[in-house]
Amino acid sequence: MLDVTSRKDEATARLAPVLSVENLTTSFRTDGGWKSVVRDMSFDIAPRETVAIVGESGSGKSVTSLSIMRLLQKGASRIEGKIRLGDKDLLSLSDEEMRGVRGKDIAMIFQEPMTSLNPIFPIGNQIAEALTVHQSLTRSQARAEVTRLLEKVRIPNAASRFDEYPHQFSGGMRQRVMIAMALASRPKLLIADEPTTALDVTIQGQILDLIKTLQDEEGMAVLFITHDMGVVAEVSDRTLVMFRGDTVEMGTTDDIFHRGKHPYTRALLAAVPRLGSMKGRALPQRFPIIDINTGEAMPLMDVTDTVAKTKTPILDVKDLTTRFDLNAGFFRRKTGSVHAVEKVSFSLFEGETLSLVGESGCGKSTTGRSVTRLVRPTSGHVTVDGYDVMTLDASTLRTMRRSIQMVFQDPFASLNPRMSVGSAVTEPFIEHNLGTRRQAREKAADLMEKVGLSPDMMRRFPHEFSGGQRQRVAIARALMLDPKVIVADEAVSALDVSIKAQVCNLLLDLQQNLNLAYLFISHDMAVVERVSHRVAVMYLGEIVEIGPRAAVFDNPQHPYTRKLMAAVPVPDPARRSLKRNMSTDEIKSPFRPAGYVPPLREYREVSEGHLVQLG
Amino acid sequence: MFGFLVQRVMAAIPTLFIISLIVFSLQQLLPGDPALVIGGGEASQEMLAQIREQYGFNDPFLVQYWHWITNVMQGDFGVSFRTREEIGPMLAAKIPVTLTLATAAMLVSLVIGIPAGILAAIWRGRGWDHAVTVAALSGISIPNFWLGIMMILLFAVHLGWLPASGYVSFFEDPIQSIRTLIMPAIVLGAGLAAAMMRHTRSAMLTVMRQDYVRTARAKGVAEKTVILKHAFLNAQIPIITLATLQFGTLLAGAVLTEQVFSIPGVGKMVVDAVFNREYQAVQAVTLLSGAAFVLMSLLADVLYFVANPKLRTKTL
Repeated sequence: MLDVTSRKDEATARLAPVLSVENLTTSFRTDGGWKSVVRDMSFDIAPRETVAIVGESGSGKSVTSLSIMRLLQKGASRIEGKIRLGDKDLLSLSDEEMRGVRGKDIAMIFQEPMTSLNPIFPIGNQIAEALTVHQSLTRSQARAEVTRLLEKVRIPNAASRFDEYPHQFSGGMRQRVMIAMALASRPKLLIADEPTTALDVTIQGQILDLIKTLQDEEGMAVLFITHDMGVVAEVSDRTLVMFRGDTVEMGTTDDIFHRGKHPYTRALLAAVPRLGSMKGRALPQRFPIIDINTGEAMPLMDVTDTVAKTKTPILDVKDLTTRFDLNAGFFRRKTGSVHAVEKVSFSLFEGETLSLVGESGCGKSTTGRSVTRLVRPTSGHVTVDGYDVMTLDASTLRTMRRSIQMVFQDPFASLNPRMSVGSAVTEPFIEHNLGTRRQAREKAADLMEKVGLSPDMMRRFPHEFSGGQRQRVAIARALMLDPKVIVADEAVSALDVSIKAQVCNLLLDLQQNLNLAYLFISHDMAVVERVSHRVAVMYLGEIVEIGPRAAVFDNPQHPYTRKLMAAVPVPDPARRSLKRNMSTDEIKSPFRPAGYVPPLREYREVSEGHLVQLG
Repeated sequence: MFGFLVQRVMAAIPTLFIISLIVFSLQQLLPGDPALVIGGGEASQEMLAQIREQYGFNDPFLVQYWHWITNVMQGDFGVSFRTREEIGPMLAAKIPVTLTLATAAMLVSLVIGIPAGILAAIWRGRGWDHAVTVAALSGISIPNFWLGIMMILLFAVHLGWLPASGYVSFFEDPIQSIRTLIMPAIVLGAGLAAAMMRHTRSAMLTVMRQDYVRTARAKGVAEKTVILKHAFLNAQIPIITLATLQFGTLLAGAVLTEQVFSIPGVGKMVVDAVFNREYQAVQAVTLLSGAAFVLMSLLADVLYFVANPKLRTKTL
């Protein structure tokens, strides 16, 4: 008899949602009154369920999570509707009662593990605080519990790391600390707001695995907020798609991915690069673009082969080495150096895209900066369009830069906010004395059209442009000098999925028309697969594998290449239950003590042009 | 910690050396013949020549510097030409007076400036913020001698609550000492309190926007703890910088305040010395003020070290 009722209770408990959001509308105060950024949103999360909210920047997904936590600035924001946690109506709780919910019933982890921990307190104390604000514990009880939590999130040598400070942890380890903190009071609901966005892909794999495991162990519900369709497919049971504050569609993740009804859902999914979608193709391919309003796919033009393999390479790099010395002590003695780039060799032909791919600290950006002489390489040979980059004097260096230009990652920081877009784009032309101001403006107007902007936008200032538009401006600026090579350093990494696809397509178009060569530096394997002719995988300053894109992706040889590819989330919900069982390895440091002699490396040729490092 | 301290102290030595060199050479450039001061107006040419010889005024610059600096390092700052008193012991009697005044003024500025700044940051854009900003602006703009005179008029002359002038050592009569110090300390500290408030406010505004403050709130930490522990302890660095660097300015500002309140401190002594061309006394005070600045920046380094675990845990 007793057994029956308890089972009945369990059944109702399973039905009753942990969190229920009804008609949530959040508005911010602006000069002209209240502006809503999330409108009429409703969803439930059942116990043990994972619901993902997915959308691009400005879609209101983070505001939703902050509304649930009531962490938005009072006075400047207004939350309407109903948010129920079990039988509590969160919006009607007093501040003090809400404080008791935060961290206890609902816990949250954030996007930026590097800045989300307080730099002046040991991590153990910060986790302990999450315990002691909600219950009274003695110091030693708290310490024991924190150690248990640190072990739970798989931090090696947990007990000894209690008294260490955040800066002594890597990004991935800090996110583990954040998760430990969130789990401290065994919350019913964990809100994870872009928890892996700032992390390297192999670390992202570890953290996703960890969240899944802990969810099983603790039996909590998870609200997962992300812009990454691959991550959505891997973690969530149900998915809610947001677009500019509105809920576009909600359903099981499988339905959303395979039977999405709304044109925006389909457009978003079409724009997602999928690793492995290029099997059997030698050339790069444009991203399919779907009209957001109609849901119709626009015709996908094929690309022609632009690579001039028979000519001398436009960029030739032999044994390039760049090291940064570190000095310490009273007499600033050299204690060692960061071997950022170590004996890197490759060549790039006209009309070709060579991608340098790897994780943070692998030396890919330093390689880009070394070949343009933005940093001075330690040794090696670099030839750009006939210039010997290593020996240039100041004035020839300037002339050389006409041949090789850069586009950087952050479209917000790489344009001077006080310069109109017109002045920014014309500046290189005028600085290099290539013609009159009038000619500069005509050329700039022409390029603005080529990059998909209108010439009248040249009077505007950077803050009037979106991220994608700014990146187009940066590309136009790079093209002002008619360069032969463009070094695109994570040029599409900061952009939203649909914008990323458009900018990648733009780069391909420009290559088709202008025969540009790209040194495409990126951490994103799926984008790299789409846009490149050849790929070089970098690890700890060295190229571990290089070859034609198809060869490297279809037949990866080096263990690191394989690890990298396995870690990429694939936007396919069928992989939901998969776990990678990755080790908690951290990315190693390229710091070497003074007097270190790097080993000689040998390469094995797998197929034509496909080389893999031995050892 | 020890290694860090040694490193900082070692780095301070060349700075002190350069200061002493500048102080000494500036004095040499001043117009007026010190021999004339010593000998008096009616001294004969032979007597002046003898004085110059006796005091070493004819020696080459570096020799003079060497004599001076070696004496200074033994605590001998020379003898007053006028009163024949030794300058060293004279200073030793006056320095504690000025230090007490400056420290009291610093306390006033911290006690007023920091809480006012924190509150202004929390209630940004509201009544309190505006009121505090206006008060701060007044604090910076009102000349402190005027403020001093007005306070004496009100609290000493009209109300009779506080003594108008004088100085009592804290160790002799603490209560009377505090009573005499209140007005000078407020007068001297007002400007710094205002600056402190502005710096605290802007540091707090920056810190309150940080991700880790949001993390603390998401943990369910009470707002008071969020502000005082998570935010304020991170906002200390600019406050430490301001407080330590401005301590030297307080010492300089003490000159005027000591005049207004007739406090027998170093400030009063230096004014007298300048008027009487007691160049050795001026040199001594200038050198000591320079040393005070160096000492304070050393203190700032130590405080940074304590406040910032990144420095503490760095392997040197």
